[in-house]
Amino acid sequence: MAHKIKILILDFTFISIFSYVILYILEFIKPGIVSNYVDLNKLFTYLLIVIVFSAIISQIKKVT
Amino acid sequence: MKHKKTFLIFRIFFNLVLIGIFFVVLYNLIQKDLTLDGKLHTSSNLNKKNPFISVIFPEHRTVNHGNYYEINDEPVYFTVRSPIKFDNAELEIEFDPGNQEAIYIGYADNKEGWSYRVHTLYNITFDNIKWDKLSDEKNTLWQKNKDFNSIDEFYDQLHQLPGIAAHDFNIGEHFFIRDYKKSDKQIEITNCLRGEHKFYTYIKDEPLDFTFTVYDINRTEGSDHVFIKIFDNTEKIIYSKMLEDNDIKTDGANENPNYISIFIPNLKEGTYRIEFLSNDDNIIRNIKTSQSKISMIDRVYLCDNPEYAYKFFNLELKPTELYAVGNTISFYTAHKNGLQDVSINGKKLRISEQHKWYNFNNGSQMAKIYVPKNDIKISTRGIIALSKELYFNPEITNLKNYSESQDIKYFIAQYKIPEKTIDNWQKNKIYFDLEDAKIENGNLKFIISSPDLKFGNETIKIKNISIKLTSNEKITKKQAYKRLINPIYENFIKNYTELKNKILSIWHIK
Repeated sequence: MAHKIKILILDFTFISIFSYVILYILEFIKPGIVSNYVDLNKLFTYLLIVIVFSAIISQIKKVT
Repeated sequence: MKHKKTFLIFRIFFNLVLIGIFFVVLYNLIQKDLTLDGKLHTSSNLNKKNPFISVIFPEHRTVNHGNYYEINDEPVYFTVRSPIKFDNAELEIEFDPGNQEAIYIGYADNKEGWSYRVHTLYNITFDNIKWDKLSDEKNTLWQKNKDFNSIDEFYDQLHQLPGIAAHDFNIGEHFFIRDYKKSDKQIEITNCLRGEHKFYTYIKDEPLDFTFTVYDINRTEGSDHVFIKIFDNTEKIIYSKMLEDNDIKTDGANENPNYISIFIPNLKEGTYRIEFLSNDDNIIRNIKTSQSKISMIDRVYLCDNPEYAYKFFNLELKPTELYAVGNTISFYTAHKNGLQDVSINGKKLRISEQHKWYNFNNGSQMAKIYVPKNDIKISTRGIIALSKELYFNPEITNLKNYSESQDIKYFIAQYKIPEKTIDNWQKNKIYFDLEDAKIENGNLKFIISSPDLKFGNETIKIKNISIKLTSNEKITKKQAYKRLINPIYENFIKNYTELKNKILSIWHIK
């Protein structure tokens, strides 16, 4: 069960990274299209938290 | 095995939901950007982030009180997102002008440098004009006598009527002085004038004939070049000259004057603007001219004072009498010798401190100013003349502000008198034609300006900004997506080609 949750968290992390990259590229091409609604810097912070959390989770079985 | 299959299905479903959410968000962002109906209407009460209207900046000129901004210096700015090129904007602002005389709003245009196209949001002088008034959606007409019942009737006869003054309204003609007679003799202005000055003069069947006697008093370091430019009434430069100064020392006045003589024949009748551009080290000691009308624009710096008592100046050291139109007239002196009581229409104004601006609220009347000791800068948004005979105001066809004059029978302005709101604020709308608006990083930039904020401790307040942007061009969804994707595709091809050429050149492959 824990293993399955880990997989879902990893999937969520990869999709989040992919989404952020697409939004960033879109913002680069048309400034304001994303940033007027979403604070990309805050979003990046949340993404980092998700990545760190996901990295910790994936290492837990190895540690224990 | 069964569990693995169930989990796989669930995992696929979970991922599809996440990807689906992402694409819904992406689709909505793109749809908002396309603005298919060519209209964008948004408003901001400035207390929270709005995706289309920015906060008012720069921060050091504003104080955010939560539900309104207090502005203590100017100018300030805000931006409005412009996902497509719009043709028109209707901007409504709720504000409290405090004690300010006027507030202007404008947008950044495509001209080089710092350039804004402004219109008037608030003007206390206009609001206080006692004449009968008519208005339409954008403009207000004040008429001395009730000659017209509607503003459309006035527009129909616009070009046949005498005595029209205009503010921010193109009446399609230049200023002419009826029954103008050129002078038979030369006029000599012996008032000492310091630094930069700009003049209007009027020409009819005569050459433009001016001689300036200029001294360099070398009080500040650096070169003291003089530039003279003359513009006709279409803003075309008809004369330009530079007087170079290679003496950068500050070792006292140069007793040898420079004479700048200008003689331009065969000019069309009309108003000409002469700009004497210089720092305060250059003194105009004397002006000789054949013209009979000379007015100064916005500013004069009188220097008939012991502060400048160089022998070769032969100063008369007598008081100066001037005539000025301008709602607020400001006075400033840098020296103890300039501390004095000036009189404006018989009212005394004490100039008791150096390096401080003193403001006089003149209203819309003509001011007769008596300056006993000179050595003073006088500044206004209007016209200043050294005598009533020399005075004329060619700006009535393009007034910066309204002033009473017996010549004016009608005053038309692109301006609506603001309406008062329940809580004693004011609200007004301004219309902009955005044909030459600059779009930077997908945003229109607007300026809020109230020039008198620089001179005192006053503030203005802004509460709500609402904007309606419209585009005259109607496009289909297909055209809109094409318009969105084409620049991306072209950019991609351009970058790909550049990268390919770079790589090939590195590897020397032809």
